[in-house]
Amino acid sequence: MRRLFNILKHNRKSKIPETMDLAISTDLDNNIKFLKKQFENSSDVVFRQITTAKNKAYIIFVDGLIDSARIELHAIQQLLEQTPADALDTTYIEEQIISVNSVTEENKFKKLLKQILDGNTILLVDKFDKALVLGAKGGSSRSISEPDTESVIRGPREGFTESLRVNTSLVRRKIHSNHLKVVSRTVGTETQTSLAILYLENLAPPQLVEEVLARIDRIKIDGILESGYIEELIEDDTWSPFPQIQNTERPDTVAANLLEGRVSIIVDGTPFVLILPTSFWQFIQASEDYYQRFHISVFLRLLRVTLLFLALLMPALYVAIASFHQEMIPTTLLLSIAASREAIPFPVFIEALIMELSFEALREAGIRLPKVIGQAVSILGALVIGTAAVEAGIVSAPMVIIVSLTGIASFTIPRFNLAISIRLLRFPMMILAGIFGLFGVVLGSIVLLTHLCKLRSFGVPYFSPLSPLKWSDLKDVFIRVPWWDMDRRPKQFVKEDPVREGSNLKASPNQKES
Amino acid sequence: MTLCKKVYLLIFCLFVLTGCWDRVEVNDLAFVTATGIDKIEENKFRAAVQVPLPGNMGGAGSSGGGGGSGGESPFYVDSGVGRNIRESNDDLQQRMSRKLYFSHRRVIIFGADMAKAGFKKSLEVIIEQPQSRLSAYVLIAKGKAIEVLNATPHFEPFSSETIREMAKSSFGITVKDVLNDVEKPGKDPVIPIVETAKTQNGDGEDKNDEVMVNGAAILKDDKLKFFANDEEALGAFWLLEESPEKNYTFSVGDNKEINVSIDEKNLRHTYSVLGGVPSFSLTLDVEAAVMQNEADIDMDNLDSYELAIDSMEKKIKKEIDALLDHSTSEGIDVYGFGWHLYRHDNRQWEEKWADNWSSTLKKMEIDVQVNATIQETTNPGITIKE
Repeated sequence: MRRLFNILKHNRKSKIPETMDLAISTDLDNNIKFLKKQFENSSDVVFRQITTAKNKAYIIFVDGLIDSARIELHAIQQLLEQTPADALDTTYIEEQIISVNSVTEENKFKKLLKQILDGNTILLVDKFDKALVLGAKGGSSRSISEPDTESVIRGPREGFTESLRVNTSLVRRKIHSNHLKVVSRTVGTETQTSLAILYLENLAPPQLVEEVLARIDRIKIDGILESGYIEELIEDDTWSPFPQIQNTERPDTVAANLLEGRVSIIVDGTPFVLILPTSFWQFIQASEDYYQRFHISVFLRLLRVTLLFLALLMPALYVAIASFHQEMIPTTLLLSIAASREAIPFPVFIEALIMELSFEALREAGIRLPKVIGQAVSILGALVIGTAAVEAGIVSAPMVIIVSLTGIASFTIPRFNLAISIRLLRFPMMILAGIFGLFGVVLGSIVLLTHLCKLRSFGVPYFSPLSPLKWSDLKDVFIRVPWWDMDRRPKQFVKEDPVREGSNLKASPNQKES
Repeated sequence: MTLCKKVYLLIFCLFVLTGCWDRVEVNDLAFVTATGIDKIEENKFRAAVQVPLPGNMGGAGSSGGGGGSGGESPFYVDSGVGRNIRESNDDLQQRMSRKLYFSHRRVIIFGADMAKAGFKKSLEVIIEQPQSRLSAYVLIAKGKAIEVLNATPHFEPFSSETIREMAKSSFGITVKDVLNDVEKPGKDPVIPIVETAKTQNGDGEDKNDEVMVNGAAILKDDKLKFFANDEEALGAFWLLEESPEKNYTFSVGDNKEINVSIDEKNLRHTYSVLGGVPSFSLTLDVEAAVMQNEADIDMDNLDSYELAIDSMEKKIKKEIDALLDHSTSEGIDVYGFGWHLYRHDNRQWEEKWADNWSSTLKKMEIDVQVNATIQETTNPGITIKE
């Protein structure tokens, strides 16, 4: 472990070579020579030589990243139409010739290189020491579609895509306010991945935004390929099994969290957007809870809390009770358990371990395999686990019921990253139960609870508002009050402007319109 | 050795060296569902247990042989002999591959001989055993307890389950109640009787020993004195049972019976002390609904209604009197008059009656008053015009 740390530390110290920060000269051939050297062996970088008026010019871009139709129509065609009589300078070209909507000037190679790699088109004209950057990004990207990981019955059907700009626009479309700030950062020495940090200026605590930006700025890594990198690099306690940053594919979830004063980080190249700070209870809430009528939301939330406990503890409780506390089981149930276990060669604990592991294996196989084969696997698994194993006398029928109930319970957790931690924690719980019985289960639960109460996500207690207790915030934890009563924002995040809506919003005949 | 390693080693030791490896698999246990205790001779007891055989219960895993549940009994009865219950159990354990496990024992049956000699010591064993349930029902067998355990009633797979269900619906009395009654001054336990009877299905072939929980055994402290006859057993129902649900039949004339179901009953008592001798007066309110009006009495008519409830009240009073007369004449306090005096008039109890309660009981006046009402009449009867 320590050696690993040393390697990391060493890497951080080592110099990452930087492009020379040269200025663009007036000699076009020199400039092109320099650029061509930088893009040696890069077949996708196109250097297109044209003559405009009497000047030689170069258009440089990365093929596939630009909207070539627009460049052809609004830049190349316009430039070629110039007659030698026209007097040219960069301002003239920018203002009179090029009809692309975003044009900027650059005079340093370092920035120029970045612009090319970002998908902009560069126009270099002979005799001028400035380059024009034509902003016509293009290229193919996935269209907006319904997110697979968070589907809803009622609610918006759009999900984030891999493109940062599309993603920020999706949030902008939800919140039409100049308070919505989109701060940009670039991380990754090689990948130069763009990040957008979104927050509502009037709601998000400034210290929080500062802290987030500071933690992002100290990242020095060669590449960021997914928001998971950022998550692990900035979260408070990486050793904790619990996720401290929420991720989502849904713009409405991001918008709702921004409105509660949270900060979200969009990473270019992934549809998974980070939301922070989070509390434990956010992971058992689905976005649909706020769209359906509140009765069903209350019921579903209570159900999820119950099933969360079952998903974590049910195999452990079964192991503990069946091998230590037989007096707790009703006589008839105990006798039927005994009857079905009569031919089983393994102790309950081993049996539970076999079943849980094979269930996890099945689930993993189902995810990794192509969808067509995945179905075959699930049928096979159902046969093997459900019927054959019982009939062969390897596992008992009650165990199958316990394991499948546990599996179903873990599927009801809306956020996949919490479901993973619960799945993992089930095993230590089972081991404790197998060694110490109920005593072990209680011990394990106490350790877990202590850890959860100690944990913080960007300074906000992870178990809040339950611990520390905030009565007023409990209206949106295990239950959800109707929208007319949701009048305050969570106190944990928003200190300055807590009022979310007007009072007396409940519709009734006695209320006059004011 | 680094600190980290030391901590890991410590945790490992915690797991391995603790004395908590007392895990017992379900299939290493013999779940005793009922115990029957008989006395063989002086200071020699036979403790019989009824143990289910999970392998014969047709569980999913065990049916590998194909329909293994057919024919073989789902339980068996075995017994051990010893100078006390524990020794008997140890004797029995030597013949069993699975450990006797008493947590699920719901029924304890004492044979008549055992009960006559007193069973307090045996019941105390149950308290001493942490596994045992104090909520187990205590019953007394008319003959040998082991015979009841061997019965194979039709409905439930085990006779213990049958006995438990029936004890629950009759005035079931638990180990805790019995020990309380034995220890309470001025209260003697009354315990249901259990016996076996053949299935009465005429010439039908399928005749088994059915279990019957019927009647009351009247005890003085922990010693059986007599089995109540049918009339006295009904008296025990009126006095002791908390649940009022019962069907009751009384006669209002020659061959004219009315069946009622008792909906509510409420027993109150008052007492007075005259010349150092207490006297009690019991008042029983009974509410009933007519189930069958064989006598065709017009219940809307006040005269005939009063005739009906009069006969009912008289019959109930007779039953209560029969029990009280018989038990007080033997110095037994089934109702707990003495316990009441102990609690409410403790000084006089300690001074005058505590030492000679049995003889006081014999000369004590007990007045029984029954108020019956019939509230629902499914068949109101016909009025015969003359």
